[in-house]
Amino acid sequence: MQPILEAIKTRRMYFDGGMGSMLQAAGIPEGLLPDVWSVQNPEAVQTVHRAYLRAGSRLITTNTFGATRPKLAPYGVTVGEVVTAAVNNARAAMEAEGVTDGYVCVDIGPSGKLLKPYGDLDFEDAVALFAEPAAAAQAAGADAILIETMSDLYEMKAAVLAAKENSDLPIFASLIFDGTGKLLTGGSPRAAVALLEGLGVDVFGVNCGLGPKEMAPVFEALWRDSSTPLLLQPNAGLPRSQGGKAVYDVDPADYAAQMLPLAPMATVLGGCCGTTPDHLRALVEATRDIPLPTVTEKDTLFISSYCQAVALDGTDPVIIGERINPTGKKKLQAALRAGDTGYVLNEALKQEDAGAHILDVNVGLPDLDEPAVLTKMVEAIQEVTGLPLQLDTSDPVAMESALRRYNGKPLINSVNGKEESLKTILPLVKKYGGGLVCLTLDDDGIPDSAQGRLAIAKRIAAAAEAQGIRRRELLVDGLTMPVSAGGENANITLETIRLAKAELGVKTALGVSNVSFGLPRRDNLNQSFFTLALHNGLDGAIINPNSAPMMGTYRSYRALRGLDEKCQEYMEAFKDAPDPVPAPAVSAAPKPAAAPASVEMTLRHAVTKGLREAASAQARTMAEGGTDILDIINGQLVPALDEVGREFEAGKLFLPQLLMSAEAAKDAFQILKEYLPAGESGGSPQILLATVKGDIHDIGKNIVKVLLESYRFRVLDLGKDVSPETIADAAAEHQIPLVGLSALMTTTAPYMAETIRLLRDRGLPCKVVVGGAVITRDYAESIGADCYAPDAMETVHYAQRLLEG
Amino acid sequence: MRADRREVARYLGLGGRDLPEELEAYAAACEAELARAAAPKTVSRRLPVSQMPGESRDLAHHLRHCKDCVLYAVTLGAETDRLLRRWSAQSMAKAAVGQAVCAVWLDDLCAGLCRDLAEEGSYLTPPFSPGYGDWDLSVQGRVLDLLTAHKRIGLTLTAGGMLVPEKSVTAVVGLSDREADACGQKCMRCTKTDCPFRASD
Repeated sequence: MQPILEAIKTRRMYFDGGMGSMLQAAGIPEGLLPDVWSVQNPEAVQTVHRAYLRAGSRLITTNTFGATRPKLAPYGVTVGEVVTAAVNNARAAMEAEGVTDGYVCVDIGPSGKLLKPYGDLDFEDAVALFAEPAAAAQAAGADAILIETMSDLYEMKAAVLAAKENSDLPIFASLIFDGTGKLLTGGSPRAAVALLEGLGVDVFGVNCGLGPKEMAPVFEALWRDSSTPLLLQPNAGLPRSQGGKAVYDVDPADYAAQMLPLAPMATVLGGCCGTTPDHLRALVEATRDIPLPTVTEKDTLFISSYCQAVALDGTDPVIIGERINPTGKKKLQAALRAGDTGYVLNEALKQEDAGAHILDVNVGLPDLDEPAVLTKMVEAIQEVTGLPLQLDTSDPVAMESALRRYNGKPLINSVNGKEESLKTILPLVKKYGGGLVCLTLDDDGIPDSAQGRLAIAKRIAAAAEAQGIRRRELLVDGLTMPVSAGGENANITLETIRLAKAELGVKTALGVSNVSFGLPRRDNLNQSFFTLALHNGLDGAIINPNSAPMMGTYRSYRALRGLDEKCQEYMEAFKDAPDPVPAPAVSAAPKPAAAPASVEMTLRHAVTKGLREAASAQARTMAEGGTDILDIINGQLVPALDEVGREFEAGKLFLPQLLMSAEAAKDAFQILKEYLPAGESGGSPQILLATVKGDIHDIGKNIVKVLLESYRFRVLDLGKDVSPETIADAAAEHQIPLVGLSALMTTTAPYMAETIRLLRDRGLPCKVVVGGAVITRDYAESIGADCYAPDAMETVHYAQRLLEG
Repeated sequence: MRADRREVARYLGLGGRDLPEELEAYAAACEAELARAAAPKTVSRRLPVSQMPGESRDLAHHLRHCKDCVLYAVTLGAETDRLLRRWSAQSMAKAAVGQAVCAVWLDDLCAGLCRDLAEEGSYLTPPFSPGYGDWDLSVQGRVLDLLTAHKRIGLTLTAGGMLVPEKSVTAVVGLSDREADACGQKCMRCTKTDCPFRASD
């Protein structure tokens, strides 16, 4: 028999329609998992398959939508048993109908859980969950795996990886979009194309959620961007509630009519909720003579996050923010060593605000566990921003670890012409997907001519294509060398990217600012080189987006090249920028220090009013002006915080105002710390904070953290959903004197009790303060807490009594 | 959606008072940003009272005059959670205000849904949620299943019994033909009179 992937490209093939509603009509009891009937009532399931076969369906979906271990557990059947029975039911139905050209597709539906960090299902646990049905599909002799009704691209990635790792069956992948044209978790059609083509699924598309008419815009968007055959399985319209049941109103004739305009784009058609064999029959009748679509290869490289895609189309360049790289950055080095995620997140968000489209993430420090830290930082950054990331490491283990857990399709920085590099990196790109930065160097070093670098680029491109990685996925990096080290350096780099683009049809990338290394006023050279590089076809500019001149260059280029329609983005970016006044002649005299009295007033005022920028600026002015740092803290920050704290407790200020002041004080303190002698500003953590196991609400804990830090307590924040063991281990390791625990739910409060028990059992000398919505004074006492904090300030007071005497 | 400022103030812990002017503007800015992220969705299903999951005397009492009830779930969507996480990294002040705005929106979403239901001619009891009284939180999974809430609005449950996306609510309202059962002021029937978020009458 023809392999399924060939069959769908030679003739119109149809999936089946709704299974659940058909089984309901056959009398399956409410609340019973339909999958169980594959084992317990095979005749009923076969009857449904046979009806669809008679209607013309030849891609039969097994009754295994919910066949995962946790869902089957209550019924005493295994995933293997259900999948095997389900495949046999489909085969038996074909035999009974005399169908010899049908294929069995094992259905894998969503877990019903949300993955971390938003839910509590770990990515690897999700992969393991889907591995069972995938392996069972292979063992049972299915023809393909259909992963469907996925509303989360991250879960889809887990399921596709499970299918790839546990079977060699073709993979069909289908998503459920809502009426706004997005996945329920926020993903766009383009982000879906990026991810699914990166993972190399064979066919993908849309099912469920909407009727054909409502689905059209999403499907058309997939069609525009994809280079892969598409599948389309809408519901029979939008569901309507009637007598406690969902009903669907689009009848077979209308269904077929609404599918007509979409059929020329769809390689495979079928139905979902509310569709019946009659719908399928009408669909087959109406569309079987419509020629199959010709799927074309698109040239655009898409990089994506969980929600959005960035397009590198070879014409319109994008900014890759370079600031998360510890080379030469002391503060970032310290933050990475201390596991201070907050610092890294702020660097990420600042670059996003400045206009970056993609963020480079490099955590390479000699004494750091790079695979663990890179993965952790990538996850943390993806929790707060929708910008796609560029994974930047020379450690292949770190690359695979981060690439595997990355939510979307990242840029991979990098591969080069060395055999070892090609051998380790290309298979990762093939398996997980990603745009690939190709450094034009090899075992012989960096060629000193554009032709030499181009030759390496050609070799990399050939090796990539040999592995099935498309040309469009490559960004050739021409390697920016300092012009101070050789007058031709800039020319060679520029010529390399121009040639690579013209001759290889790849995209290009450059770390721009290296060109000015060793020379004064680097911004002059950087800006001009940047313009030249853009003009020579630079697609991915790795720069500092916080540099106004560089972003100005970028925005000017786009406006001048007609890439910025009506200069709208240019105008938006500079709408608040005053035209520069002529600079006054540079005076040799130092700026007179502002009068201390007015400055003191201002810092205290800034903190009291919660003005973060003003507080930072005033702190710096005072410190630069020579005021003793401890005097600033004790004379300004502390009184301001005390005043605000009193007003809050008196009910005169709201919580946000208290927090604004705390954050202003914290920012000011960060500045002042730079002026303190080393050793006086840091130290081991004093307070450990965690939201207990099972609890993922951490806003209360975070509020307490800000307040404690504003009072200059050193806090070790273990985050949310933290096990008793992790808390006890950290408390022991850092000899923590005070542990703060938060719980929001009655269901998770018992873990608070368990954590305290463990701390006591291990004989750790720490005190414990507890709080959270469901915690009462009585409960706190009953579980042996040392302090109950009904509000945010109480923890501060307790810490002051305990740690400051 | 525009959140009632007094309600925002109540969720910030100072019920019965107005937001000060500078916070008022701040809340408006937060709300505008949240509005771009939020994707409010609802799903509901009319069921006989006998089909309510779990054993609960309080729920039985609450629905004692009703034959049918409407089970529902509302959510502000995954993107709302994400924005709040982002704000938590940038500014807890903003995150706290965002929380309060979301709480008001959820109330409004539930109220709007109940208004639509009431138009069909019944009196509605006040909403009753899993976790109220002796209606155990462990019923939440069954509640989501009855509503096919995962597929319809992307609402899921963690092992610890929490709804995710976090900014979500499930509840049941009884359909009664007795006017006396009609929905009163939202906190009036709650026995926790020292609750900091209690709405004033």
